[in-house]
Amino acid sequence: MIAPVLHTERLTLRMPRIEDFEPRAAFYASDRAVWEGGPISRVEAWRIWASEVGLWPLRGYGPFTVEADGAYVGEVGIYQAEDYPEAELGWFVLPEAEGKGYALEAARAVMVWARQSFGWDEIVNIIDPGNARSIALGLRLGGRIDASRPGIDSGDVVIVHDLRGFA
Amino acid sequence: MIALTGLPVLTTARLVLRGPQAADWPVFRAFRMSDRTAYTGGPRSAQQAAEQFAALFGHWVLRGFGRLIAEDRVTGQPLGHFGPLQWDEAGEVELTWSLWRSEAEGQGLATEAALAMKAWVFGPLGLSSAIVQVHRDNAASHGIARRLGGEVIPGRVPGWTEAGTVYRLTAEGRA
Repeated sequence: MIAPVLHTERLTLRMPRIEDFEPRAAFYASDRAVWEGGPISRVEAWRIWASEVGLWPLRGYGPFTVEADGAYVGEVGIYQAEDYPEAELGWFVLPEAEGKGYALEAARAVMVWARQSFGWDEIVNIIDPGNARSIALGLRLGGRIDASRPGIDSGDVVIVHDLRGFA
Repeated sequence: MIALTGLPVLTTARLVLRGPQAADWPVFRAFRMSDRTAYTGGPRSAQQAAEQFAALFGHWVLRGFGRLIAEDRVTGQPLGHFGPLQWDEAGEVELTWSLWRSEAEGQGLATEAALAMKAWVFGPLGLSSAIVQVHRDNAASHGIARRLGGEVIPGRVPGWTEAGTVYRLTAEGRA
């Protein structure tokens, strides 16, 4: 199973390919990755990426590479931590592509795809409490914070999105 | 079930080597959380084991090659993983092997599977060279590396331990 290609007004979401690794590893090596468990080494970045891409054949969902005008701008996808009861909607955008609403546009497309593909009623974001930018995006996407749900790490903010409006 | 597609299936006298499957998870998990991984950086947590299991699949997707699972031809039981691993484009491809179950040891099964993988790596995959990294105390794997025709690279140590040996495998090497 590989990712379908999803098109939005400005973006293409597609299956990750090996050439995505360089911009992805550079992002994860930078201080900007502090909310994604970074900064981390190239080797560690490869290990994590291979495991996330491996979700596609294992579970039928996973990360989408996001392109704008043919350039890599980040990733939006559905991730699943072992022993965590729910799949998670996640994203990151390279610093130079921030502030354009790309993550919002791509996340909406993935939410629609998840609803249509799996019939899920909801999906969550699990976000470090210091990551104000992602929390704001989760709320802008229509989610609500559910303080009763545990995250993965202590203190995580869990935002729940109702997918039932996405036919 | 969702699956990887287009992967090779290699058959030896006693084994079938095929792509990883979701159903392999319980056995892989038990292996990675056991002392059997002491020579390869383990034992690991359940979370780490899950990441490593998913990475078996992701490596195939991203690089077009990876590790296969050896199963007993008669019982269908998965016995271990075997095959090429590459951490970094700039680095060399490593031929790896692990028997997941202690009861599979001592019968030459790992050598049988590793020889089949070596033939695939230097045949259909088209590589001309690979390395093998073995912990100093892992006598069984030193024996396999030598039986595959590996030659010690003087002065080089594995990426994850100072206490070990790196072997060079080539298509022209014996065995």
